[in-house]
Parts: sequence; structure tokens; C-alpha cells
Amino acid sequence: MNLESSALMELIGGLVGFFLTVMVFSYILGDNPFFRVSINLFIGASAGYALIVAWYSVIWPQLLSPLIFGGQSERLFVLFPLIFAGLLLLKMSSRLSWFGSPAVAFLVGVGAATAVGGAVIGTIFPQVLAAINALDWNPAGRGPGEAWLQVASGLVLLVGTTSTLAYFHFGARPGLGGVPRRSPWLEIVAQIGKGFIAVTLGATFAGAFLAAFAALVERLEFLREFLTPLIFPG
Amino acid sequence: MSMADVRCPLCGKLNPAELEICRFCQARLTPLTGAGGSELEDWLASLRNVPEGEKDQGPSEADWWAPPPGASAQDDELPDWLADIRSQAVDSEPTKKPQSARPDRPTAGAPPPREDAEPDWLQRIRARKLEDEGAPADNLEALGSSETEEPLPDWLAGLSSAESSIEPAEDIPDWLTANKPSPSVDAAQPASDDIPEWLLGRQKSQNVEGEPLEAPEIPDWLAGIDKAASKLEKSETPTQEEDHPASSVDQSDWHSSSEPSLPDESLAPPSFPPSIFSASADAEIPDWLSGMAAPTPQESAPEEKTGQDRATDNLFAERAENAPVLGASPFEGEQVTSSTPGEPGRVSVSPFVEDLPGFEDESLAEGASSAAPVLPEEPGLARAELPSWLEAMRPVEAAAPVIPMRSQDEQKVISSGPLAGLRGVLPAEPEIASQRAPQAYTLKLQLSDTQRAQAEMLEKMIKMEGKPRELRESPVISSQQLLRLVVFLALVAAVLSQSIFGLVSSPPPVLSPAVFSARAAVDNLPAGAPVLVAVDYPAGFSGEMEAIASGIFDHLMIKGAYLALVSSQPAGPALAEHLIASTNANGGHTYQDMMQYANLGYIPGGTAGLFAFVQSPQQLLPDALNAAEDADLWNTGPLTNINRLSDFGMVIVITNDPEVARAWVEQTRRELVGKPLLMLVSAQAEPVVRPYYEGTPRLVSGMLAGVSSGAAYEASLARPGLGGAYWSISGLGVPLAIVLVVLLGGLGWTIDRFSKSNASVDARKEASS
Amino acid sequence: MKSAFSAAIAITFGLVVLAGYFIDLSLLVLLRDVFLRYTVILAAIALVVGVVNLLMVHWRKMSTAQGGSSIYSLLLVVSLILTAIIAGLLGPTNTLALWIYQYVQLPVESSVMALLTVVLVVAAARMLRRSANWFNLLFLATALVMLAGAVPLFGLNIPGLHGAGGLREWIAGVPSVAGGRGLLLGIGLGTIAVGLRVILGADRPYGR
Repeated sequence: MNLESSALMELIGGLVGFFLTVMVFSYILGDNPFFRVSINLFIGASAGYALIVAWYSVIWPQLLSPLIFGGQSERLFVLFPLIFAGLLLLKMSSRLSWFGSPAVAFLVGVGAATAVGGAVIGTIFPQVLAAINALDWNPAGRGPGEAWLQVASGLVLLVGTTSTLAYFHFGARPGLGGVPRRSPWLEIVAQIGKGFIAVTLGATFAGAFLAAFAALVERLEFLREFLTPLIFPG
Repeated sequence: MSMADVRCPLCGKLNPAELEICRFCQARLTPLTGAGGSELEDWLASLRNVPEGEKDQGPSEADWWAPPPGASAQDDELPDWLADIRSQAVDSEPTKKPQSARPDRPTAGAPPPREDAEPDWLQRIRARKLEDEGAPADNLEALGSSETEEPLPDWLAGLSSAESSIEPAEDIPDWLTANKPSPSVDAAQPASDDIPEWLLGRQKSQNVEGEPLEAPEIPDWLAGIDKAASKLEKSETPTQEEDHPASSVDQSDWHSSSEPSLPDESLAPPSFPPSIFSASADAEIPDWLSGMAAPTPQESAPEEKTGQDRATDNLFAERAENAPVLGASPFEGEQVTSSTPGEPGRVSVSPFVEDLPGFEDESLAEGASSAAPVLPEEPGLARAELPSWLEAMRPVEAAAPVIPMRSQDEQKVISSGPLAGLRGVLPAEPEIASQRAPQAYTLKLQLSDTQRAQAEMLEKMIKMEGKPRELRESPVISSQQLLRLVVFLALVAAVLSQSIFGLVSSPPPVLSPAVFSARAAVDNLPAGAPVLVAVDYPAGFSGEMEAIASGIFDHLMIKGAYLALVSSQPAGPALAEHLIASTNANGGHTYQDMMQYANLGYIPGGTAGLFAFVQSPQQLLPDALNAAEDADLWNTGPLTNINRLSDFGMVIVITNDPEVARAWVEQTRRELVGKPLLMLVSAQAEPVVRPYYEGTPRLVSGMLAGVSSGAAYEASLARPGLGGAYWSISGLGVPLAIVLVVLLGGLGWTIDRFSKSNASVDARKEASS
Repeated sequence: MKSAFSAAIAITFGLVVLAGYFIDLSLLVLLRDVFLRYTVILAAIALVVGVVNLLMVHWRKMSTAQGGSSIYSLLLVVSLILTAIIAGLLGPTNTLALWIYQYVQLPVESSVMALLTVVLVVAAARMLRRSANWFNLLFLATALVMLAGAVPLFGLNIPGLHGAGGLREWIAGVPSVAGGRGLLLGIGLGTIAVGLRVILGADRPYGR
């Protein structure tokens, strides 16, 4: 691709990008055909690209290439996924879709096992340890005020963690009128945990806004960079 | 009245003897007898205990309740109490009209009554009645049906006088002998030919304890009683006493009669008709029977119960034991008691009431209390009573479960017909007229108020769905859309003005510890070391993520790190290429060759895919997307010695999704030993990812969260990049957004309060006016 | 029977992988790695199935529906096929394929993301207007402080708010982490519970 065609492609791409951006922005005024056109184009392009990426990354190098060009052992190795892949393809047929259930079951079973192992090793143990170690008073290298601040922060961390967990404890006993009620002390702890959750979700909300704002900046920067040479050619 | 004339049992008028039907009221004068009526069944004959020679004389030889021929001469005398009952009952209601035109109400196995075969005691009653009233007593003829005068049975005589005794019967049927105290199947079996099926069934059920019965041989009418009982029990009648048939047998009595708590074990097995008792041989009379005659009338009368009664009762008791509820018996709660006027505390008990423990204590006391509605009796006259065994033997149609059963106290005295004057007997005509209609169970659904309200609401909603609604003319732009547009334009204006004009100059952000740690980790990275970069965010976050990552990518390229790009998102390879291109453009780098970076592609499978890649990256993604087809990525070039994840110099995860960040942390926890894991995350993922960085153990070596971190990193490098630019632009837009939130929220809150206060003022004014 | 077969597969392979996760036996580890590779292959096939199904649905919709929806489906099908052809023939990292990404995917998705700013501002304002309970106030206050501390306020870094020792950093580092840690533990416990239910066959989210 030479330079001219590259510039043309960039110009066309800029125009496409510009119009698509404006079409999506039109959603501010409500749902409209422009927005739907842009969304359908995006879905189609994303699906098509994903299909090809899956082919290039996995299906060809790991399934079909060994089957066609590989040795006996490689062919035997891919026999199992080949059969299950065939079953999975039957999912597209409403009549034969149940043939694909064993393949889905395989995916679900292995996925669940991996998730369980990862949660135990990567989250539960380390986070429990971190909650415990938050109160670790190690004054070495810290001044007296800094150490006390560390302890105070550790206390807040410990209380916050446990109370947040308590908030998600939904076990209750039937109270007056059969209305389930948590025990009073658990209710107090849960209310404290609710406060910590409010803080965490508030931070998440702010982060979501900042991410969206960065996307807005990116889009407006794109529009500015695209329109500036058109408006001010000099 | 000549002898040739026959008095109509219904209207009392005289008719010629040859007539079968009364010429005045069309009532039948001669009882109907079936074709086979003259020849009784064997079992019936045995019940009557009619000698074979007499059996041929016809059905009028002996009524089934008539005294057996073997009775003693003193049996001729009608017991006083029975005579008194008769006379008293007739006297008490002399003017009542007969209710039934059918004196021959069919009874199971009972021969039709014969006019000319009434016993003398019955004749005496009749004569006495005629004397008293001058009214025809012929209607009583139907009651006595024996053709010849038969002596009063022993058991009746024994009950009436203290000196009476039971004559041993000479002929005891086989089935009776089979019912001796220690019966057995073998003993009962031969007699089965002579015994009706229902009694045979009774025998079997008695004799074979524990042995499964082939079929409970109970006649239909008995089964009907049971069924009726169960139905009655199920139906919610106000009082069971009202609905139960008249009987001289208290339910508790006959139930307990088969209970082991009986005083005499021999009471339980026998189940004979009374006529059989009188014909029994002395030697074969069971103890309980022989003891019947011994007591004084005062003692024996309330304790006496005929064998037939017991047969029925025991049968009921046995069936009731198997029945779900004992109280389901039709005889439940019935008491045969009457109180003598003038002696309210004393209860005179019918001589047919069975002697059972606790009877006097409970049943009689209850009977005394409930005896108030009993008809007034004249002094010295006993109340009319039908023997309980007779009552027990009367048929109860299985199909008449709804016949109201009255307690003894409420039993009507039959005012007319052949049973006139008797209390507690089945009427000659079934009480069809008074049959209670089956209890109506409403089909109407029982609804609570809430359910009704909900149903109405649902109905209303459904109706509303059918109605066409008027289309409101919506404005071209609604207030919400206008609000959104204003906010959007304000933000766009802020961004563009800052981007174009640079209205405010923002100082660089301060380096946070997390960013500092990341910077230190990259600093410590050996030159040219392979770095695994996970580009795990969707295209929509590319603006923020590239602003965060541009600084660190610039740093890595400066150090000449080999970048192995991978993604668990399908669009990841394109994002990775875009990130490289963006960094090249911003930092002036020329990362284009496979020898500088490798786009390893996409890892499907979520967590499992990540774990698989962590275990063996070489096998999972053998080729790079940006490499030539024949390139051997893992055996030539910078990735040659990479077999495990820990062979990389560093792992950087760029993601907006806390779940993806968590998955990377969890799956690389064991494999990435001693190598830094950096997290470049969107600001929205910071609260969830940061715990992995804070605390001990620190699973994330360094972290850049949000544009400010990217800007800080760039500032630490002193190389302006995308992060710094976005940071500067945000300096106007984000504060404006904060102001908009506070302003719009506060304004709306004020408006709401104002409108509410206005509404409350208006409401107060309306209330005061 | 079908359900039992699927459940048996899920349980068997799940247990083997889980055992290989914690038990360092060479055979188990080998089986685990093999099954993980199979999972990756099958997940890729599943993605293909999904895309083909999307294509078929919209193809059907395109041929049966009338009016606007058929046009939208037509656009989706055309863009899908075109992208697949271009990226398939030239490769996913080819310039033309990346052009599609840069000028079609990126603008649309980023623009949708940009719209979120307006939505969030309006939502926060509505929350402040309507409900004033302590949870919402704390939520909003935290959000506004975090926003203010994340960017220069009209070009100013306010001491006590910005910087390493500022309020924003303290909130992000202490109470927010405390809540986040509690959430992580809850998520982890939930993951274990759900995963074990699947592995033990109590939950069968794979149909018959």
C-alpha cells in the first residue's frame, strides 16, 4: 500500500469514523435509525473479526493443522476435541442441539474447577492473610506517628473487610410477624459494612465516570484531529 | 268385625278377607312374599332354629326374631317391660297417622310378617291397645309374623324376670360351635356351608388372627354401614349423635366389646343370633351366656346384650379397628339410656345394653344428661325399646349414607304403621322425605382480601390491555432528552475548549506509591527481556487504557523489552496492534518487527484458557499473528527460552474489567514466582484490584489505575504522552461534571421540596375550607 | 439419560482438573493440561458457533422481516461477512483488517462509552435529588471526592485532596480497599460455592 492510497484510506477511515461517532452521539436525543445502523455495523464487524481471530489463534493451529499435517500422535490428541467440536456445532440445529450438551458440560466442568482453584489460591487465602496482616505493627523505618496511622488504617481495613462480609450474610431468623430478621449485633455490623460498600461503590462510580470521560476525550480528540485539517487546511 | 274381614293395616277399615288390597286406601292387606319366600335359606333357617319338619310349613313358621321352639313354657309370658313399653308407646301417641303404606319394608333375610302368626305377647299388646283406645291395632300385625304361637325366647324371658334361665339349646349349628372360645380355622370351615357369608367372614376374621383374609365376607348392608360410618365421620355434622342411626349399642361399648379389656375373654368371640342361644346345648353354652341368666334383673338388664348384637358389634369393632377412625362408626355416641321421671339421678338402662366396663360411668351419665327430650312417660311404664340386636340387624343401605341418624334421645316414636309405638326403630318407610341432601361444598374459591385485590388488579390490567389507548403527542424533545443534551454539550464544550484553547494549565499528578512501584519494576527489568502484556479490554476503553499504558509502554520500548502481546478478548489482537502503533506514534518508536514484539493472539476459554496459557504458553499459542507463516516463534528469537510464565521478565495486564484482573491474578499466583505482575487498570476497576496491591502478601507488584496514574508515570519519565494530555483535558471537564451533578441535584431537590410544600399548603387550605 | 451423561462428563473432567490444581502428581498435572487445552479449543469452537448462529439469525431476519429491521440485519450480515473475508484472507493484523477495527469498531464502541458520561451525570443528579438516605449520601460524597481528587480542579492540585497523602488516596487505599476486599472475599466464596455445585452435579447449566 503506497503513501497515497494510505492517505486515502485514512481519509475514508476518518470519514467513516466521524460519521459513526456522530451517529452514536445522536442517541442523546433518543433511539434513532442512525444509532441502530452504527450499532449493527459494529456488531457485524466485531463478530467477523472475532471469528477470524479464533480461527487464526486456535482453530487452525491447534485443531486443524495437527489433524491435517500432524503425525499420528497429534491426530490422536485432537480426536477428542474434534468429536466434541462436531457435537458443539450441532448446537446450531434446534433439533440436534442436545447433542452439544456434553461438550458444553465439558467446558463448564473444567471452567468451574479452574475457577474454584483460582479463587482458593489467588483470592481467599491471600486476602484473608492481607486482612490479618493489616494490623501488623512494624514500626521499623517509620516514625511513631506513621506507625500509629498504620495501625489505625489496619483497623479500618479489618473492620471494613469483616463488616462487608457480614453485610452479605443473609441468614435470618423469623422475627415478629414472621418477618425474617438478622440478629441485632449482626445488623449493626452489616450497617457498618454497608457504609464501606457505599464507599467502594462510590469509588467505582467515579472510576466509571472517569473511564467514560476518557472515552469522550478520545472521541472528541479524534473528531478534532480529523476536522481541523479539513476546516483549517493551512 | 267378622273373621272373614280383614282390617287394613293402614287405614284401619274392614275389608273382605279375599281382598289383597284395601279397597279404601289401596294398601296391601296381605304381605308380599317372594317366589322363594316359602323356602328360606339354610342359614336363615338355622338362625330361626326351626326344626326341619317345621321348615316346610312355610316361612311363617318362625320369624327370625321369634322365640325358638326349644324355649320353655314360661317363655309364653311376655316380659313385663316389653309389654309396658308397647303399651306406653302406643298410649303416648295415639292419634298419629301412619306414614307408610308399605308395612313390608324389606329387611335382609327377614321373612315377611304374617298376620296370623303373632305371638300371644303381641296379641296382648294389641288387645290392650284396643282396649285403651278402641283404635285398630291391626297395624301391629305386621310386626308379628310367626304363623304359630311361639314362646318367648329364653333370653327375653331371662331378661324380664330374675328367675328365668336360659334353656340350653339342643341344636347348635356348626358355626356356633366353631365360635367357641378357642376357635380355629379348621373348626369354622366345615360350618361355612350353613352360615351366611357375612357371618362366615366374621368367623374367619375372628378365628384367623394374623392370617390374611382372602376376602372380608361382609354383606353389602354391613359394608354399607361401614361406608356410611366413614362418610359420616368425614362429613362435618354438628353433632354426630344426630346423624347416627338409632341403636341400643353405644359405639364405645361395641367397640370395647372386642377389646382385650373386657372382663371376660369369652365375651368377645360369640356372635350368634338370640334364637340360637336358646337352642344351644347346655354343655356348649359359653360362660358369658350362662352367666347371663344368673344375675338379678337389675344387674343383668343393663349388661345384657344379645349374641346377634355382639356379632354385629364385634364385627363392627373389628372393622372399626381396621378403619382409619374408630369414631366413624354409625353407632358412635349412641346411648341407650332413659331416665325415670322423679329419679333424675338414676338411670334406667335398657336391658339390651351390653355390659361393658365404664358404661355406667360414662355412657349412662351422658345418657342421663341427654335424656331430657325423652317423651313423657307414665309412671310404671317402660319406654318402648327395640332390642338392640334387632336394630343392629336391620339393613342399612349402603346407598343411603345421608340418612340422618338420630341419637336415642331424639328418636321418633313411630306413630303409625306396623311399628307404631316403637321408639328408635327404623320407620316402615325409609325416610326418603327427610333425607338430607348431600352437604353442598361450594365451588367458590376461598380468597383472602389480598388475593381478591390482586385478582381485581389483574382483571383491570387485562381489561386495560384490550382498550385502545390514546396516543399522546410526545414533544419533539422531552425534558429528559433536553437535560441530557445540555449536559452533553457542556461536557463537549469543556473538553474541546480545553483541548483547543488550553484554558487551564494543569500541574502534573503526584506519583502515587502504586505507580512508583510499577515504575521501579520496569526500571529493574533487564534490557531486552521478554514481557508478557495482556491486552484485555474492549475497544470502548481504548481511550482510557491507552492513556494509562502509553507511559509504561514508552518506558518498555525505551528499554528495548520484547513485548509478547496476548488477549482473552477476541478484539485483543487489534487492540494490541493499535496500542503498539499509538505508542510508536507518540514515543517515536519503531516497534514493527516480529523481533520486537509478538502478537500471540487470542486465548479463548476465560479462566480455564488463562490457566492453560499460564501453564504452557508455548503449546497454547504456538504462532504469532504478526509473524510469517513459517516463522518458528518459540524456537528462534527472543521467546526461545520461554517455557513457563515465570520465564517472562514481567507480566503486565491491561484491563478495564475487575473480573479479568482477578482471573489473571489468581491464575498467575503460583507460576509467576519472583517476577513482577503489573496491573494497568481502568479507574472503575481500581477498588477491586487495589486490594491485591495493598497488604501482605502483595500479589500485584505495581498498579496504574486511571488516567491520572498514566499521566503520573509519564511525568516521572518526563516524556509527555497520551496520559498527560488526557489528564490536562480532564482538568476542566471532570470538575464541570461535578458541578453539574451538584447543581442539577440540588436544583431538583429544591424544586421537589418546594412543590411538596406547596402541595401540603394546598391540602391544608382545602382541609380548612 | 442424556442429562446424566452430560453431568458425568462435567463431574469427571471437573474433578480431574480440580485435583490437578492442588495435587502435584505428574499424571494429574498432565491430564489437567491436556483437558485445559481441549477446553481452549472447544471454547474457540463455541465462539464460532455463536458467530455463525448470529449470522443465521440475521440472515433469516433479513429474508423474512420487512422495513427497518431487515435493513439493520442486512448491514450486520454485510459487515460481518466483509470483515471475515478481509481479515480471513489478509490476516487479523493486516492493515486493512486493522483499518476496520480503527474506523468502525473503535469509533462506535468508544462513542457509546462516551455517552456514559452524560448518563452517569444525570443519574447522580437524580440520586441527589430524590433520595437523601445516608447510604446514597455517602455513595455520592465518595464519588465526588474521588472524582475531584483524580483530576486537577480547574488546573489546581488541592493539598489534602490530591497527592499521596491526600483524601482521595486515603479513600482509595483504606476504606475502599476494605470494602473491595470484603467484596473479593464474597466473590471468592461465591465462586467456590457455585463451582463446587457444578463439579458435584448439583447445578447443571449445560442443558440436557
